[in-house]
Amino acid sequence: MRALVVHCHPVEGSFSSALRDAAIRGLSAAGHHVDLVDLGARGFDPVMKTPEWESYVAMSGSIPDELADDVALVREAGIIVFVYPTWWSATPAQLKGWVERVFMPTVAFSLDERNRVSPSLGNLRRIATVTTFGSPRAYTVLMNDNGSRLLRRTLRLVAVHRVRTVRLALFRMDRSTEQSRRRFVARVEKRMARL
Amino acid sequence: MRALVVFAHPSSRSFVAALRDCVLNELTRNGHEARHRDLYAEGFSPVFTAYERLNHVGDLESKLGHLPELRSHVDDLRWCDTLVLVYPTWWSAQPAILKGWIDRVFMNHVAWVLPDGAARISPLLTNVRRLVVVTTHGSSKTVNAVQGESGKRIAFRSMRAMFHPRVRTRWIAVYGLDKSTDDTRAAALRSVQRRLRRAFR
Repeated sequence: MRALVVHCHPVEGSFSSALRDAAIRGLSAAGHHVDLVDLGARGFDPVMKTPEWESYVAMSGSIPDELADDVALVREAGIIVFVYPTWWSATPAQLKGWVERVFMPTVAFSLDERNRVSPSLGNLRRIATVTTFGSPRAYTVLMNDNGSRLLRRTLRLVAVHRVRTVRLALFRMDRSTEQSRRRFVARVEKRMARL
Repeated sequence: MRALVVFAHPSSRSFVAALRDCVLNELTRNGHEARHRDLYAEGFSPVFTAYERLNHVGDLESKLGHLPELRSHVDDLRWCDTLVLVYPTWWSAQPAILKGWIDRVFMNHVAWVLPDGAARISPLLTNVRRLVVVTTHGSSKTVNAVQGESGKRIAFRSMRAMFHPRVRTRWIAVYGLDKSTDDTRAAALRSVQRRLRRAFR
């Protein structure tokens, strides 16, 4: 299957990079063809510009050149894995903007004659989120995990087929140890190998 | 009342821009002070940079020295007693430009501190006593409930925790814009206006 890893972190070499690499290793070991979109490294601009928004509401389906590769990868992907730190209970703005700009009408969905959303992604079968939290698990239950909620519950609605989702989270990053981090990296690699 | 209105929409001709105008009208009509930040118009960059990550905790003055574009946002946030967010709900949450405003401006020593030896952070924006969200949804209320209303939770749980412990919140939302007509939008605008009057009383 084609697997797309979408990674978002401002600093290369951070713990998040290790999680990205573990996900890629696990997916490759399972025989998937893995593509990577690394938003931080690419300096991706997450802001949907005015002409883009106008074309969005007109449902024109015109794809900006800078997004052509992302669109092609999303259309082919059977698996999408998001790797990011959770900030303010959600994804970093850069990742949120990638979803807003790439999952556009005609790519991800269209509106039928009664203006109901109908899904367009025919290959997508799995969505996984791999994320870290500064706070302990109890606090995140109170605040909700809105990042994963959005990427799994909202995004799955644009898939033609039923999508199974997986969430892997490391809580209390602030107090993590070398050992707990290594354990989480191993867990990510193992879980990605059997998606 | 000192209200900070943060607006996030790419078009000044949109329905959301009309809601923003309505917010500003209602504030001034009632004699409240208002500051308005149009994130798109000012070209706000929502990307949390490597510098910000590496200096996540640290001296605020030296940080703002490196990030002069954030200083006036910090000043506005500390000045207001009412925060009004006006935005379209995209993929069940705030547009990236507004999420990035939260990521970047709600920084250490502005929104929160971690006191020495404490297990959890303490809020610093206790000047904020009212949080009003004015937003639109393309889909119906039911579809949004199924999706889990992430944006509402980000605002009313995560952001709210940085404000006054007894901050009052108000959710003023329009649903089902995908199927709207000129008539239903006009009615929605009137309904928002009525709800704003109660919120700004």
